[in-house]
Amino acid sequence: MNPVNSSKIYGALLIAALFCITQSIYGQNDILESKINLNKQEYELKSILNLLFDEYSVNFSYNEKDLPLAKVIHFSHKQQNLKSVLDEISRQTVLDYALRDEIIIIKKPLKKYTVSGNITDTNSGETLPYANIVVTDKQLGTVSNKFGFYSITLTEGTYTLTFNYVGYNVIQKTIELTGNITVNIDLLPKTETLEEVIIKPEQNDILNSEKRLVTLDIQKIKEIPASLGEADVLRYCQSMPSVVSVGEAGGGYFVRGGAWDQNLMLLDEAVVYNGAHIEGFFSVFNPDILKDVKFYKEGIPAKYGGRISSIMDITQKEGNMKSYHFSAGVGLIASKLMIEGPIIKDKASFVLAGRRSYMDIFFKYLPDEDIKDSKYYFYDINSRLNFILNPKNRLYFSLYSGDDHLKDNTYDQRYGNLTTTFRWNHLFGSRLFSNTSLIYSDYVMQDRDPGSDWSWKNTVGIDHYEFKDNFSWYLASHKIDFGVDMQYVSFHPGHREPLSDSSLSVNIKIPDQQSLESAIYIDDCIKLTPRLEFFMGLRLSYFMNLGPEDIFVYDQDSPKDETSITDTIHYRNNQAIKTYAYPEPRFSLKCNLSDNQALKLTYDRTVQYIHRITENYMALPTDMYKPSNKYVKPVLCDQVSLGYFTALKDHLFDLSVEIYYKKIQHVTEVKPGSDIYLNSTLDADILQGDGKAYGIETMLSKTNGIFTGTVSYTYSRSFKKIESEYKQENLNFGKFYPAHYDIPHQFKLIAQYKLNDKWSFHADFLYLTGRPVSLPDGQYIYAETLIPYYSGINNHRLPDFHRLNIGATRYSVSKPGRKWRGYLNFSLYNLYARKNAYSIYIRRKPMTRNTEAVNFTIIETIVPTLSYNIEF
Amino acid sequence: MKMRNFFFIIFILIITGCEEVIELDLPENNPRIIVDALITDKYGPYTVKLSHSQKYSFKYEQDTSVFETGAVVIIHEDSGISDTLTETEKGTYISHPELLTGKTGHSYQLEIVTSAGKRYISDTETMLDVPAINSIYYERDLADRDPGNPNYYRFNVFIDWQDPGPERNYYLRKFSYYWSGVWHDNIHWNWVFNDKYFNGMYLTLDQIVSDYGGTGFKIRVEQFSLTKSAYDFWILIHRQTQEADDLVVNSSTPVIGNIYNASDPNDYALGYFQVSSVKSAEVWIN
Repeated sequence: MNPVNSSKIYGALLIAALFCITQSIYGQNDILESKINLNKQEYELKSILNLLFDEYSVNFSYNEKDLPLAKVIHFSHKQQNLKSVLDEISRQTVLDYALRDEIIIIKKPLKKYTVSGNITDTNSGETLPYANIVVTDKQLGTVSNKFGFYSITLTEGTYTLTFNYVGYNVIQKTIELTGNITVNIDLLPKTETLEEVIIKPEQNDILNSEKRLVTLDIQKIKEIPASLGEADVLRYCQSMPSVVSVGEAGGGYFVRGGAWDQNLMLLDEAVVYNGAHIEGFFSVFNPDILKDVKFYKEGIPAKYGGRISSIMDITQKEGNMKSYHFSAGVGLIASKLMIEGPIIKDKASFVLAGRRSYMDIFFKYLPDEDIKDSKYYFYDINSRLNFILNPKNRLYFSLYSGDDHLKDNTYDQRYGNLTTTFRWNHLFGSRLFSNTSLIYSDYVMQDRDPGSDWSWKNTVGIDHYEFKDNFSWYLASHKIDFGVDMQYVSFHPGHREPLSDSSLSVNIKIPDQQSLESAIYIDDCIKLTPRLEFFMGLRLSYFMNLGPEDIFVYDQDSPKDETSITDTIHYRNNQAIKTYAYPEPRFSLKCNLSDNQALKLTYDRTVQYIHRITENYMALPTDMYKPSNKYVKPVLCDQVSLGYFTALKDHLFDLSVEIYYKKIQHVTEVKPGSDIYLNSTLDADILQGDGKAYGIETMLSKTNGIFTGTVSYTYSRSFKKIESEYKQENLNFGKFYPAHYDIPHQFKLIAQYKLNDKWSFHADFLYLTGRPVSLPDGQYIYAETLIPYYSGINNHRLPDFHRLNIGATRYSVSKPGRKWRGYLNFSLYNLYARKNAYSIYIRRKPMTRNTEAVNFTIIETIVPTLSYNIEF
Repeated sequence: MKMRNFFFIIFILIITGCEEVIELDLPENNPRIIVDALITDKYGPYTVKLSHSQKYSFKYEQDTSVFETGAVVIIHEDSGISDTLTETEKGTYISHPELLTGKTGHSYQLEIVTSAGKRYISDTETMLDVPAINSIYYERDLADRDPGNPNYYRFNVFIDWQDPGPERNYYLRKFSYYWSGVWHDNIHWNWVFNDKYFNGMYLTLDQIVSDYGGTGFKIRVEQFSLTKSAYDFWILIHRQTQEADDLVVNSSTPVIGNIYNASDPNDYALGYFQVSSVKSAEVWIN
C-alpha cells in the first residue's frame, strides 16, 4: 500500500476511507489480469500448467508429489484471465496458489490450528483482560477477553507471539504450530520505577487514542483524587470528552447529551441501579477493587443492552492466587481496607474489601443542635471468590453490598444496592469460550418519619434477576460473540405504612410492576484486510410488561389523569400486559489509513425499556424506576459517529476528533408540578417526545513519559421536544428546548508530572458552559400573590462553571526487603475558590409579598484534602 | 422534601454550601393578559380582574399594574344563564348576584373580549362539592413565648372534618386574621393539597396554623373545592411562590391555566378561572 498523502486525509476523511477500501480490493498484480485463450474446456492439470508456461510464460513453482497432475479440470469459458483460470484450478483440486515475485506457487493448503490459553499476572495469578497478543512480523493479532482467555487460529508453521499488557514486561514466545496447542502466559509487572524509556507501541497498536476512549486507566483513577481527596471512578470518568455532570455534586452523569438514566453501570455484570453515595459526591465503586473499567458511548457491542447512552462495565479484582496482600487507605471522607489471597494456592482465591465514611463521628462536636444528633454514613463491602476447577472450567462469585444511612430527630433514610454474580467459564475445544452468569441485584430506599402523630415508613425499590450466557468463538479472521440475556425485574414503586397502631397514617401501596427483558445477540468482528476491520452487531430484544397488575383505562378525549379513568383491567400473574420487540443493529467500520492514522464510522441503535423517574436536577436516592408499559414507550436511540484517530510525534501524542449525531425517540419528562411519590397514576404524569443531540469531541493525550495528560474540548448540544395532542401537556408549546444538561462548551485538562520515584504532581481543570435554567420573563399578581411568569423552559443559563484542582503524591521509597508500599496524597480542591452556581431560583422574600433571586453554590472555598494509602 | 435539609447539612458541614441573594435584571418577554377570576357557591358578586404581565421587578406593587379596561366579560352557566359583568373600576369586573349564584354540580365558562378585540374562552369548569368544617378550636401553649414579643404565646388552631371517599378530592385552604375590624389574608398559610394520605378519613386535630399571638383576634379558615386541573395549576403556582426551591425540584416552567385565545391555543391567559364550592369556619382567640 502506498503511503497516504496526509493532506488528503485532513481534507477529505471519507474519500480517504474509500481509497483505503479500493486499495485493498484492486491492489493486485497485473499478471493475474493477463488474458488467456483456451482451446478446449477440459484439461488435465499437468497440461493446463504446461500450456500456461509455454504460451503465456507463466512461471510456476510446485512440488509434483503434492499435485494430482492427471486430474481433469473443467472450464466454463474459453476466454478468461489468469486469475480465473487459477481460481478454477484451486477450486477443483483444493490447492492453494500464491503469487510471489511473478512466480505462481502452487501447494497443498496448509492446515489451520489454534493456539489458545490464559494470560495471568505472575505474582498474583490474576487474569489479565484485554492483553494484546501479536503475531510478530504479520499483520495479525488478537486481544484476550474479559477473563484473560485468548485464542488465535493460524496456518501451520512457526510463529513468534508477543504478549503485551500495559504496565507489564513484554514476553515473546516462539511456537511450533503443528496441532492445536495451549500456551498459558504469566506476565511480570514492571517494577515500580520511572519509565525512562519511551516504548514505541507495536505497529498493530496504533489506535491508542481510540482505545483510551473505552478503557479507563485504573492507576490514574487511584492517583488523581477526583472528588474531595477520594479516588473515584465516576468522577474520573468525567474527565473524558462529553461526559459531564451538572454542578458540583449530582449522582448522575450525562453522556453525549443523553439523560442520566440512560447510562448502564455494571459491576461484575450486575446492574447497579444507584451509583451514588452522599447524593452523588462519591460513587459506590471502591477504587481498590477495580480491575478493569470499560466505558462505551458508541460502537456498543450487542452483548450490552438496556440503556441508550453509555455502558460502564466494571470488573472487580479476582484475588491473588499466590500470596496474601493487604491495602488500606485513610482519607478525608472515608477509610478503606482490602485483603486478598489464595484459598488454595493457584486454584482458588478471594478478595474482601470494605469502606466506610466517618464524618458523622464529628457531628457531635458541632454547635448546631440539628446536626449534633444527626447521623450520616455510608459503607461498601465488596468480595469475590475465584476457583480454577481445571484448565477448561472456572467459577467466580462476586458480591457487593452498600448503604447510605442518614438520620436526625424527625427523619431517617437508608438506601443501597446489593449485587451478586455467579459465573462459570467453560472452554469448548480451543476456540469456543463460554461464560454463563446468574445475577441478582437490588436497590432499596426506605425512609421513615418516626416522630410525629403521622409516623410512617416508605419503601421504594427494585429486584433484578438475570441469566446470561455468552459465547466467544475465535475464527481465523472473525471473532464472534453470541448469546442470550434474560432479565426479570420487579419494581416496587412505593409502599407507605404506619409505624405504629396509633399513627394517623394509612397504608398506601402502589402495586408492584414486573418486566421480562430477553435478548439474543451476535457480534462479529471481521478483519476484511489488514487495514480494514468491520464490526457488526445485532441484538434482538423482546420486552414484556407482565402481570399481576391492574391497569387503568383512561378517557381518550382528555389528558390522562386520575379523574379521567374510565375502567380498570386486571392482568393475571405473568400475563403479558404489553410487549415490545426491537432489532438493535450496530455497525462500525475501522480503517487504518496508515501506521498512525485511523478512521472509524459507527452506527448504534439502542433501546431502553426501563425509565428512572425523577423531577429533580440531580439524581436522588428517592428516584424510582419504572418499566415501559401500555402508556410509557421504550426510549429508542440512533447514533451515527465518525472519528479520526492519529498518533503524532513518533507515538508521543494521540489525537482524536469525533463527531456524532443522536436521534432519540420517546424521551421522558415528568409533567411539571406532578407528585411522583406514591402516585398510582404515574403513567399519566409521564410525557414523552423527541430528543436530539450532536457534537464534536477533540482530545489530545500523552500517555508515556514523566509528563502525562489529556486535554479535550467538546462542543455538545442536547434538545428535547414534548408535543402532545392535548394543549395542557405541551411543554414549551411543543417546540424544542435545551435539556437541562445541554452544556455546549466543555474544556477539560488533566495532567500528571512524575518528578522522581518519590514525588508526582497532578492538576485537573474543568470548564463548562453554565447549564440552562428557567428564569422569569415577567411577573403578575394573581390571587394577591406576586407570581413570576416563565414564558419558556430553560431560557437562561447559569454562569459558566470552572474549577482547578491541584495535588501532589509522595510515594514511599522502595527498599530491598521492604514489603510495603505507601503513598500520601495531598490536594487542593477548587484552588482559586470559585463560587460555581449550582442553581439560581426565585423565591418569596421572607415575611413580605416581594420575591428575590437566590444563587445557590455548593462549594465556595478551597478544600484541602489529605489521604494515605498503603499496600503490602 | 426532607432530602433537602440533609443535603444542606452535609454541604454546610463539609464544604460550606451557601445561598446568596443576587441582583438580576431580566428582560421582559411575551407579555400576556392576566385573568384573576373566582366563582363560589356563596352569594356574589364575583370579581374578575384583568391586567397585563410586567417586567420582573421582584416587587409586589398592585398600583403599578396595567389593567385591561373596556373588555366584555361574560360568565356562562350550563343552565343557560349568562351574566355580562360590569366594570366598576379599572380592570375590575363585577357579576350580578341576583342573576347568577354558583351551585355545586353546575359548569361554568368565562368569556372575555378585550378592548383590542381578542376573544379568550376558558375551559368548562365544574363546581365540585367541598365537605363542611365540623368544628374549629385552638390551644394555647403558655410555656412557649414569642422570643420577639413577650406578650405573644404559641397558639395552635385545629379543625375537624370528614374527607369523602373513595374518589380523589382536591382542596385549596385559605387562612385569614381579623383584627381592628379588618380581615387580613395571610397568603403565607395558603395550602393546596389532595386526600392521597387520608382519603375517606375523618380528620381531627387537623392543624391549620401554629403561630405566636396575643388575644382578641379572630381566625378564619376557608376550604375550597378544586378540579384536578385547578389543583395542577395551584400546585405549580404554590411551588413557584411558597416552596420555591430550584435546588432540587424543577418547577420553573410556564404555568398555563384554563383560558385560551379562541383562535390561537398558544396564546393563553395567565391566571385561572376557578370555580369552587367553599366552606369556612371562624374562631376567636382569647
